Amino acid sequence: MLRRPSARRKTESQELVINLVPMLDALVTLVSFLLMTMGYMAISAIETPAPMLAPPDDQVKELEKPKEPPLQLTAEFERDNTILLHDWMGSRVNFKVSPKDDPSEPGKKIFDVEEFHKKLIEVKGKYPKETQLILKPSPGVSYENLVTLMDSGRYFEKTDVVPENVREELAKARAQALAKLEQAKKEGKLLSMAIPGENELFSNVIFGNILSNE
Amino acid sequence: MNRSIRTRRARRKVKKDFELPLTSMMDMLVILLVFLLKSYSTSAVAFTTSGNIDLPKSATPEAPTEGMNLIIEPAHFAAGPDGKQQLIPGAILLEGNRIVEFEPPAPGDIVTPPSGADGAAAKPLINDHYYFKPDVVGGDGRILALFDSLVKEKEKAEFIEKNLPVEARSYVRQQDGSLPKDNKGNPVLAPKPFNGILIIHADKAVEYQLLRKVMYTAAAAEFKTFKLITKKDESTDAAKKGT
Repeated sequence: MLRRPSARRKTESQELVINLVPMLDALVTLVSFLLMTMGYMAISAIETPAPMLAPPDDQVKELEKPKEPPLQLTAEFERDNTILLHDWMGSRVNFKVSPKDDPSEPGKKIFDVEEFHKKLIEVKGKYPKETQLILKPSPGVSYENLVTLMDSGRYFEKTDVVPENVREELAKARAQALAKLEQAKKEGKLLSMAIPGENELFSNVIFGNILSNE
Repeated sequence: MNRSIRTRRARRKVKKDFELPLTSMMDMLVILLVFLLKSYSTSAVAFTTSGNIDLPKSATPEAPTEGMNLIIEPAHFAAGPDGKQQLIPGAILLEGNRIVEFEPPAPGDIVTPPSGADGAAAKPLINDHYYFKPDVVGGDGRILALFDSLVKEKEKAEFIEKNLPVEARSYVRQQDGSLPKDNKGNPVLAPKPFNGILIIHADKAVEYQLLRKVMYTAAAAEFKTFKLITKKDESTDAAKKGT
């Protein structure tokens, strides 16, 4: 009669060991490759087109003419850190943002970026279709200040309350752009165009005084 | 007696089936790999910027694209051939070549901080003003040497594109994205038009006066788009800061 194999023998079976060495080799190679090729400084770019002279009025087709004249929202950064925000004629938008005290250096005045941003949100609420902001900095404004001012004008902050009409307009513009792309794809065309973001304030920033000798 | 037998057995055991514990190392490497893959940039555009410039920070999410690189570099100290630190005046560099050099800063604009506690000399601080040497800027406001170099670079880019073998050429699309076709209905292969993108890397202390001259010169040389390079700053809440 055969005896039932004992439980003891079962436990004595050999332990399964996975050979980790080739996997470790691959991982070490991959990690060293990533470490070698990694960029340690994240870089971004602010796009700004060169201003161009507009064609004479009679050459613009009647159909292309907008019903309402464009706002031509302009921000002038003055030498004394004052910001003037106005439209082409100064009749629809006209604000003056006074400089504020530098908290880190008593007696020094700096641009009031927070107030400038608030005014831009106000203007965007009134003219939700406008996307262009023309900058006219005075010669002494530093590049660092310019970038900060451009940043505050191009996007809504996370903590901002976006007006409902602006939100709707942005969603509409986004949907239109996506539909255009989809249509082009169906027709076999390769169209490259920017899709408007959900937090764009005045995303098209142009330097308005490059060509002048002011 | 008992102890010696046990020790001998233990020693024998170690010799027989000793294995390096790799699991913890694997854990560590996998975590490192995941972190590196998460923070790895997949941008196809790779370019170098000067180590002598301090870029401003921006919260803009856009990544830089391909284009011609222009660097506005301030005056700085660098080790010369004899190993001594020497003053290198500020300059405008186009695709790595020094095109325009500014006047060296006045002695009053170089401040040497006192030596550190270990006696090592601290790096001098330079208050750079970017003054052009005479005759660099023309009567119409263009930086003449820069204009010439930009035109040359543009022509070079167009020449390269024109002389590419037909197989390497790209299809040129019309404004609506469609491909122009020849009489037989085949898509037309033609040189890619010059994209006219100028990527500007400028130190954060550069004043708009200089930036405007550079942009004006570039616009005159048919560069239509400028990309201002900044350091990406996720935490920036620009509206809360004053400048």
